[in-house]
Amino acid sequence: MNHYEHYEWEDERIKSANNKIHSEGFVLLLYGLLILIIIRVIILGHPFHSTWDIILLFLGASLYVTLRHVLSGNFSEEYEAIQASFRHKLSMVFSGLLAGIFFTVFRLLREGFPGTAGEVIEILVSLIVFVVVFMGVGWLMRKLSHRKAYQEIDN
Amino acid sequence: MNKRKKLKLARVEQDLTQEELANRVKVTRQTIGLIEAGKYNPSLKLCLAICKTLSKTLDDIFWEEDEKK
Repeated sequence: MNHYEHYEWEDERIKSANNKIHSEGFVLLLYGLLILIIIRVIILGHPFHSTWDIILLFLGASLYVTLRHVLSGNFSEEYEAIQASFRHKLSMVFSGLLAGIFFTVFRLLREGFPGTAGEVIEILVSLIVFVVVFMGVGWLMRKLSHRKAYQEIDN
Repeated sequence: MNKRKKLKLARVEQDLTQEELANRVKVTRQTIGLIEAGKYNPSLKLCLAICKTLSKTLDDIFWEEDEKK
């Protein structure tokens, strides 16, 4: 029997190195897609129907990674930290605000700057809604992840 | 004595080469070489497999005494 035939697949060091390489490749691909979307949508101003496939792929892959993290209970520590410390609550609010600013800048670059007071109010309202939903979804994900982590311990 | 020397010593005591030990615990020779060189930390599963193969306990091979003591 040739000993080397199956070792490559059973050796934990090789398996872990393979996983690391694949994971790094995946992250590169994800960032590549993000850069592609930014270039096409913001810089080149391509219409949505010509970029929806890339956007869908990016959102699908991001959603998959996030859901896997949530279901694995990986955000449990973060949830406990936010519950326990003011600094972490503040950092959650700041990250929400930052995401909201990015969202608004993206919108302004894509749709142009507001001309009337009504449009300014509309943008402000959408910014507030975005920040609230962003923080709400983030908090809910962490809470769910925390619950999943404890379910696994209890079982 | 650190764990890399302990592993090498235990392997030599059993008159095994790196490749023979690797074959018995189903890893590559490089993995055994890297453990002995202190460049790879094996999982508990692999530590147990190595200990069983070399008829040693985990303490015998993988326990490291505090250097300050």
